[in-house]
Amino acid sequence: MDLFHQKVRTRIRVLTALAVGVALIYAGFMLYRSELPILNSFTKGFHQGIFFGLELVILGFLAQNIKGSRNDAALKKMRIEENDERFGLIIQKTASMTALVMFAALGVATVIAGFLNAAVFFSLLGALLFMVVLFYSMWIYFAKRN
Amino acid sequence: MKTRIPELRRQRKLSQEELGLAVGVTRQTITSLEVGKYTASLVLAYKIARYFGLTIEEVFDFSEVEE
Repeated sequence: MDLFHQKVRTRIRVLTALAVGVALIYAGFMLYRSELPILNSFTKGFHQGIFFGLELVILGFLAQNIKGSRNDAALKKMRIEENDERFGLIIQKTASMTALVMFAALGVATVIAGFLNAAVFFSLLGALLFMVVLFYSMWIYFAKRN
Repeated sequence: MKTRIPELRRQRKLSQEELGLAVGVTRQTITSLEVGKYTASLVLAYKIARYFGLTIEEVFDFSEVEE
């Protein structure tokens, strides 16, 4: 349990640093807004959404970890929830199925984009190649680890 | 996979939550095991069997598990 407590404490530190980092990056963008390219309102809104969403997710995880580290019962519950084998299996199956569907969808979209727009085609092709490289890198990494 | 977990829990007046806490899994995992939706790993099967003071074969029936 001490090892897990230590892990949670480290996680709290990392999440705090991340939350501050994201807030600082956003503040930096706001301060130097005039020097950035002029963006349309949709893109601006998207950027804000990404920053606020990320900040909220980080703060949510931070609150969860702080709450869990306060007493032994909460810490034990958190450890069980994180290390539950059925939960791990669900995550694994969800991730592999999502990757499979994404590969297929991206492949179809790339083929269709080839008939319509060169910029979109090369963007999608780049994304597809990146995913293939990432997939096989992960495959080799986990095959060697297990 | 059939298990004797519900019967053993009833005998010892244990809730799913309590058993889960004792063997290090969530209540939902115990529920899934009891209804036969989830097949326990060897480690979990061992922990549950040891908790009840029985062998794995006495708690779990592996005859219907797909190869």
